[in-house]
Amino acid sequence: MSIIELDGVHFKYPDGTHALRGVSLSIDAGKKIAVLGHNGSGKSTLFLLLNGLYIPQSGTYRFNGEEITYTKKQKRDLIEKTGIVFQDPEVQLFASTVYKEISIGPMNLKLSQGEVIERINSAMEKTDVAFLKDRPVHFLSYGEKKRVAIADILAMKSDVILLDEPLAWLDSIHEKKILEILNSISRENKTVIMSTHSSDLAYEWADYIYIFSEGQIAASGTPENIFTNKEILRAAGIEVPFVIQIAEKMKLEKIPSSRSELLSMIGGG
Amino acid sequence: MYLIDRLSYLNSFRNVHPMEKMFFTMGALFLSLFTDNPVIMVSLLITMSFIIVFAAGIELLDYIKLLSIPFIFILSGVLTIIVEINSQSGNYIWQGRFAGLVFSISAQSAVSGGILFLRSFTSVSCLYFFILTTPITDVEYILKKMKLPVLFREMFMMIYRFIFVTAEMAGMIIISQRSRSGYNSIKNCINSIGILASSVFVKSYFFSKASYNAMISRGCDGGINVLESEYKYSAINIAFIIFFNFCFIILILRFG
Repeated sequence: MSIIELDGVHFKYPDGTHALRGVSLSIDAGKKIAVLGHNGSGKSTLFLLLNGLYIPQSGTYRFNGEEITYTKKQKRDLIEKTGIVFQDPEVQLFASTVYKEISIGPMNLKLSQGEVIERINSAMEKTDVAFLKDRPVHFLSYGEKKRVAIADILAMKSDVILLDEPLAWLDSIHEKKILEILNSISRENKTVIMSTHSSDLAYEWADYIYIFSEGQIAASGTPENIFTNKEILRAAGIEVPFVIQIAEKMKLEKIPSSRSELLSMIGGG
Repeated sequence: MYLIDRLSYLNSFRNVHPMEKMFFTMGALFLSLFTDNPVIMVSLLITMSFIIVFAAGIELLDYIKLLSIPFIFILSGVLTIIVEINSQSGNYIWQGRFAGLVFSISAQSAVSGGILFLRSFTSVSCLYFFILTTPITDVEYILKKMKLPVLFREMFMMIYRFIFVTAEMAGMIIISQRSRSGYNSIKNCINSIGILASSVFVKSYFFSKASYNAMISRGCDGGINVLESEYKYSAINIAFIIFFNFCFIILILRFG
């Protein structure tokens, strides 16, 4: 069943920038979705709109089948059911210690204290930040800040987790760590939506991919389908994933689904 | 600022109840204000410094570095009290001429200046005890216990947090300016400082908009709600605070 449905959504900023130009999509619950596109293609705007912070000028937004008319209650529900991890954790973190920072979300949901503590602890455990608990935010490294930013949202237990460029500026060790966290979230049947400009990442990670170009969906499909259609990729200016390039150059009979699969295929053959 | 902030998290009194630390500081501060006896002031100064360096575990060098900051202010303030400018000669312990003016120090002004100097230094060391052992989150806790309006508390915390963000932002801009020789001549310097100020301002504006979005998306509706960490009072600490104050009060009553 699809949890998020957009139909012909247009969004214009007050300064006239037409960020979303007729976006229609349907996202199934519990899937890993990648929104692939260049900087300025409308990915971040889409996320803020899915979170209910931006109201589309036209088109409809259905969440769990219910059409959003932006009543107070619906807006509150959207905030509770979807959570955004912002690209720059600096923007998101503002409490004085990590523990207090993570507590903000569940406290805003007006939960009991026991429930809040339990959520903070489980979010800290999942993102491996428990040892930073009493540290002030400005003492953390960038990778740690990023993990705390994810813990912030996990503590809200949203059904849909939106991550804006979650791997930006991270080193490869932290990239791996963040991807592990995302996969563990996904295993709990949450819908994880990630924006990225890396086709390699989208190809390996996602169940389903939307390619964004100039505020429109240029293409969508499973990784296997979308990256074999060279026409679409060229039009949207998206690079063919490295794994596919190698597989085609080497004329492998089967296209590997990840770098490690490619390596084992080459090694074995 | 960075040094004080770092030390306040990394000292052995980090987990002591913030209210205890505040009462201890207040007690010591009042003692230093009520006594006129220089010996008591010096012994208070030494005791506080001893507690800061040995009990709280602040490096002696860091502590001296921090004490030297107010030293200059206190010294310049005290000098203007000690030294009088007049033209006639009188009962002065020192007189000197400079640029047609007569500078003189009387015995009385020297004593009152000396006491003021000691008193300021002792008070500074008392306050340093609080500043160096109490991280800003605990200061917030104290403000909350003192029922300060939530608006002021939140502003206090946000300003504190964003000072670091802004400082980091400015630091990065300065580096990028320097890497393009932005500060290699006086003209470039003035120009670069102007650009720095305006770009920090513009960036802060965009930053604040993004931050606002991030807050709303986590369901903030007005107030910032955080789960406060709770502290336990320690009987030993309270007994020590009472004992400490009691000793000095006796000394003050006995010797002035």
